[in-house]
Amino acid sequence: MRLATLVALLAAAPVVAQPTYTIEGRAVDARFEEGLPGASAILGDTGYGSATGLDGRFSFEAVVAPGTYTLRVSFVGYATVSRTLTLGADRTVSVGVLELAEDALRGDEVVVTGSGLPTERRQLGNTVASIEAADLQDANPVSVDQALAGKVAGAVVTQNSGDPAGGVSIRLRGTGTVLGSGDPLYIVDGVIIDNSSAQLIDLGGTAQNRLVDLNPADIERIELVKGAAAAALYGSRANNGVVQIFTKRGRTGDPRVTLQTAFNTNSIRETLAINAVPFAAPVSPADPTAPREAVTRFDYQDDIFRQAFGTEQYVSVSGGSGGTTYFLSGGHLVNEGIVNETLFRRINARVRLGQRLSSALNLSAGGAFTSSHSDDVPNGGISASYGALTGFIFGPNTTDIAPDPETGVYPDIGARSNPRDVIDNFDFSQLTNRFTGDLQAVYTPFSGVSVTALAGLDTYTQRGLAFIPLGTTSATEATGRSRRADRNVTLFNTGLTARYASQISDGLESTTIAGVDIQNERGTTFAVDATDLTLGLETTDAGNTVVTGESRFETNLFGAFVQETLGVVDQLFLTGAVRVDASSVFGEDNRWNVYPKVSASYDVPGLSGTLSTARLRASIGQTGGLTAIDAFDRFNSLGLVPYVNGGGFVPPTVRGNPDIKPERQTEYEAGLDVGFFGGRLGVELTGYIQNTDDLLLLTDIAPTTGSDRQLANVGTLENRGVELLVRALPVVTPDVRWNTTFTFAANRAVVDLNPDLTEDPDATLGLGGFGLVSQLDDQPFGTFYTTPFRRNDAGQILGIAYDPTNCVGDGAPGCLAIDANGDPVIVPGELDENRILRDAAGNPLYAIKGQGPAIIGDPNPDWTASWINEVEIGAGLSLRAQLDGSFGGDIFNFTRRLGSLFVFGTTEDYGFELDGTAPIDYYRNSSYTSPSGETTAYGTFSLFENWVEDGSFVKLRELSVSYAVPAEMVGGLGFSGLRATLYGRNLFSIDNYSGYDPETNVAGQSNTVRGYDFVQVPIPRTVGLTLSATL
Amino acid sequence: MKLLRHTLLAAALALPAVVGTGCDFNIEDPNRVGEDTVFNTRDGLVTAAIGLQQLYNVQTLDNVVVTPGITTREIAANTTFANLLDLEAGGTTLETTNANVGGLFLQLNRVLGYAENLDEGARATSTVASQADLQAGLLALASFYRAVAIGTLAQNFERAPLETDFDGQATYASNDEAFERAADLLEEAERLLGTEGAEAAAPTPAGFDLLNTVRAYRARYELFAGNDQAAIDAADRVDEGATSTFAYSADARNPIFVNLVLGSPSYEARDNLGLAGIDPADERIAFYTDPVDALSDPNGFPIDDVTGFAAQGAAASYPAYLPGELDLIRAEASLNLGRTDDAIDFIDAVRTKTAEEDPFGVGAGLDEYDGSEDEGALRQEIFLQRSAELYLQGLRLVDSRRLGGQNVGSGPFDRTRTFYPYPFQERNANPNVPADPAI
Repeated sequence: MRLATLVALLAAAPVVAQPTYTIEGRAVDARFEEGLPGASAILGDTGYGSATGLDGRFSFEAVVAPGTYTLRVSFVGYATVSRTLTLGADRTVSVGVLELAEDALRGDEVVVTGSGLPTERRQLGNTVASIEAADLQDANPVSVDQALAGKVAGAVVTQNSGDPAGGVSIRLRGTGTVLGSGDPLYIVDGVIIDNSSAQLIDLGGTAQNRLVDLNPADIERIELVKGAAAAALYGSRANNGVVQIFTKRGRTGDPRVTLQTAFNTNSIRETLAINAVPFAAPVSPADPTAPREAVTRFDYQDDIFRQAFGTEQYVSVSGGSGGTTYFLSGGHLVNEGIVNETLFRRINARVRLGQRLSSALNLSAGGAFTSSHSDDVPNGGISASYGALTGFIFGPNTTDIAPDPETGVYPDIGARSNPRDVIDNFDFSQLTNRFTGDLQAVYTPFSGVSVTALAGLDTYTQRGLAFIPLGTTSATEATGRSRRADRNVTLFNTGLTARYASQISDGLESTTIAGVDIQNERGTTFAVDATDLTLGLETTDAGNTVVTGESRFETNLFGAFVQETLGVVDQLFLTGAVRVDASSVFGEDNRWNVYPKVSASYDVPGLSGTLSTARLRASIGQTGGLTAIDAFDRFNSLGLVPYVNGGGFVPPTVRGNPDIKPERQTEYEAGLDVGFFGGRLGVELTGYIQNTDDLLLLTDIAPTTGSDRQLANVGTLENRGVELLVRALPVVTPDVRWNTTFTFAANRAVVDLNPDLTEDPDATLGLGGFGLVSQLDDQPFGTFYTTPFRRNDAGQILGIAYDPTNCVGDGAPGCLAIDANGDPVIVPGELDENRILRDAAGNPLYAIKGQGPAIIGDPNPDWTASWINEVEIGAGLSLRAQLDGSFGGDIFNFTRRLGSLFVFGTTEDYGFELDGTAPIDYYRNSSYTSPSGETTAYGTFSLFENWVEDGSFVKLRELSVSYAVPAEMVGGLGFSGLRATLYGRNLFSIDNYSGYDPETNVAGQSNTVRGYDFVQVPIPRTVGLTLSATL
Repeated sequence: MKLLRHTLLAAALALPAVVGTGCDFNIEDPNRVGEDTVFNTRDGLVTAAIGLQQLYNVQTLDNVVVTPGITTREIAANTTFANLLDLEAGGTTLETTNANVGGLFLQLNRVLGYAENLDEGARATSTVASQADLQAGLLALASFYRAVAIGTLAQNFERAPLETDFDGQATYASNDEAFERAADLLEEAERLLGTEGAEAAAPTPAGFDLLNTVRAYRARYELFAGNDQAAIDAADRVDEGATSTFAYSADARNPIFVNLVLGSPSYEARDNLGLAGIDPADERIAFYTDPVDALSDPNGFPIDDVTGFAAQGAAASYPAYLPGELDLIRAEASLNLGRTDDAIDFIDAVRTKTAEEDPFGVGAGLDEYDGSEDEGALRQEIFLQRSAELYLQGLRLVDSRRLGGQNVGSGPFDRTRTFYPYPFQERNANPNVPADPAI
């Protein structure tokens, strides 16, 4: 509340009576002399300004002291035009017609992120990606991070689950940590917000991430910085980059009301091919002609997936007068998931008020409330084994899963829960109520000096409920389970930034920024787990066995920074900055950390003609990372355990580390921005090297210390890559305007587990995923490390020849071809389109396990690319298409693996064995010991390399057609504008992946387990219609 | 300049407002308790003493019993887990990365380190030092568990640390030195329990008789260290009718039950307690096992269901020592001292004991010993009696080595290792690890 005092004091500063000026003009397209609606005209750093109207005209009042000011008129995609105005006796100043020319590089665009205060892009030595609302909202995304897919070079966005509020991961230039979260720091209107992915209830591995609480329709623009070179001012929290989101705000003028209503439908793109062979395994493998048991096979996917629908209503009102601006919005979204009984409902309300308190002091306050509710159905199998799709894949698919029409009893299908039982009777849901608010004051006593004070709050309660009634078909939860978990989180940050800009001498400008900030985070998770339920009750009171658990955290971070930028004749810009910060999570002796940065940008002068602009930039910076450090990892504290005569303290197996410090990233970035043909073609090329030292890993320590392991700063992680952005306007005529944007990024991440050892061949770090994902020393991040195929020196896969005359007993030793010595006949082969190994003549072979473990797959894509095309035709019609591609990443198809085994036998793979496409017992784990005593293991079920597939894809991510009904046609309806947009998301994918979708991850937002497919819900195909009306 | 003054004023006002929001970097952990609180306060030390018992009795005893139990054929692996099959195979198949050997080594070192912390804290904390009975009770408990940790390490490893080293530089002592150290610590514990009220002040649960347990374990380790007369004297001081058990509850479950009985266990009891020479009439077979006609998978050893102390439920107690061990200690020590007749008398005391005569109901119900009286035969007989009487007490490996009761090999009644290799994790981090034994 001390901030309120500060604001009151500032407000009380004596107001000098100042004249009111009216400033007016018109912004037009330089090429066609047509008015540019929606451009912004701003008077210096006074905060006065307005947007242009439909004809490009603007007019606003400013209460300022007489003097010389700079008026800047800017519009996305155009070079900014500046005019120097002298405000004197004339109270009305007209600047006439200002011509704005296209600029594909957007060098004049003002960005904030990474530089402390608004700065023109061309002055920066590093890239800052920015995305405007219009680029995000055509395809009506549910969440902001989902909408970012394909929009930014160097950002890999993965929607991990196709649930209606499914989690999303963003990796900017790879990740800067192994054990922590790899997602960037999110800031909304200056407020650091929480984007955690708490798994309060076990949905099989996936979880929502809390960015889903933000309504994309409220967003005006997003800026991203991708690494230490740009993010040094964010200090200890910036190793994964920073995403800053700016929501809409009001502008002086008449009230502007926007009504939007949307309807959409979601469906599954494609289902898995199931085993449809109508008989069970042969009674005797030795006699394939023996009669077989006939079975009926069902596709449980038909009972699980549905055509789902969604609706959304949104209204916003904005405007301003007399020193006050306002923006109000409300939204209601209901979106059904493609799995029966799943649903996401979000209610949003947002308000932002701007108030000029005096000519020197501006105040802005914002508040947003969100209530997010989801009805969930567990799926996936990384943790819980009771999901609907989990039941489908474990099968076997030989039981009609519908409840008995008379008794209502759901049939037991075998290994796992009956999917219909899960959908109909399990009751899982989550509810989050969240408030985010901020208060900001900008004090501008005179031109060149400003002080900004900010306080922000983000607080929410997330509640998860999981109810499995007594007596379901779940084998592990037969006595029922009722769980309730509540998580309260509060983030508070406050800061003060001062800027001083001055002209040191002719052609030498200086801008100095200094600031301090404080970040406090605290929270509690409380869970009650009740089992052995009494029939009838759904609350945890029903449990006869009840376990509770509580955990709390609190962290504090304090930072201070100073930055100096020198501009030399508006061509060369040099920036140096240093941040010092301290966090409570670090060990006492390593609490304070210093992060420096230097950067340079040089605009090559005097260019014209084909090569119209060229800029060179370079930047070096450091940041820290603390996502791998829990609030209290610095303590070697003792936990409480129950014993017979009371609770007792026991020492932790993981020893606390009093010396723990941030993971430190040093990034080198250099690039080139070139504009051609007067700004119609722009190319941005960037290369970077990110070295993260002091990487946190759980290291083994000698047991004779009395402990097992310790979290320690021992490793290094290197990301190297290039990013390319090409923007062009291939066609610009008065009637047609074609905008095209192509992005490309390649990144390679390598982890050194122990840089102190030059060679450490034994070093591996298990990362989870059933022990199949590991980090190897000096190898790519998080590889699949397990059983490979046996191969010959030429790299061909080896197999044992199939001999149908040698089938003995119940498959053992199978139908192997054995030579006269009793040795298996081993020959090279190739996998056919069904992943069945065949020799050169096309005869099937049994695949053999090679020496393992070995790296059998790498989920990290080699490169990603996107191509966005936008065509505007006439005044009202626009078309937009976005293709996203990802190449070289592998997927571990655990789903398909499970369906191949005889005990489950749900996918077509096992069908191949039944119908003779594959030899008998092709998948089952078997071994054969030759007379010489050598044991050969074969069968592909646990030959994991067989289940690693190429996850490369090209997707039609977004396609939209939008038509603005001419104003004269809708005027009679009371609208000033009406726009209809027909859109599709994830319409089709070109890939060779045999699962649902190569964009998937059962481990949710896990940093280390990526590309792991275990029957999680695939991303749906969405088609929708949006109507937007302006009053 | 008026405005500039305002700016400076605002900044000056704002800075302390911002900085003063209370940036406290010394936030305590509310979820766990700090070492300072535990080891420097009276209540903390009492709670640590309870935790120490939980750490050994609940988290470690299964390692102590199960791992050498597989090696010496008390139990058979009945699973496909590679770590258990490698352990059962023993020999050179057993690698330094084996999870069971690693767990045994780690848990005993955790107990040792924690008991050392308790000892140090109880000596240095004035609120404890001023209360002689409590201090003596806590120190006796700490000494007891240090002795158990060091002694059990020496039962399973050729050399053992006598104390932990926080910096990872622990040194190793020979088997004899380790047993000697364990006996010395128990002597110290016995002396401490002489303080009036010490035993009552030690925070032990009902059923655990600290003084008699200390004396029984002292007898055990004096014997292992070769101090035969001291072993007999210690055994003689144990109250013959006393029982002492590690206590369990629904929240602190009996780990032997959890491992051997609950759910679908990975281990089963061997037929005839895994002993080739046992008399089929020995009533202890039926006490400890329930016959079923089954073979272990995959190694095909005949297996029975486990009964006895292991199978009484998750909250059932488990004997800290068995009274029969005392007679067998006396028998072996007497034999070592050349008093063969005494040795035979003590052997017979165990052989002829009926279930009704034993406080725990362990009785062989056999006739008196009528075999050869030469030393080798008697040592074999003592091994047999110890193996049957002390089934699943974690002692057969050290007994087998000391008494020569088993061959080393891969036969169904052979022990498959003599000592375990030192875990890879220890070798990687501590330069003082001895060479691994051949087998």
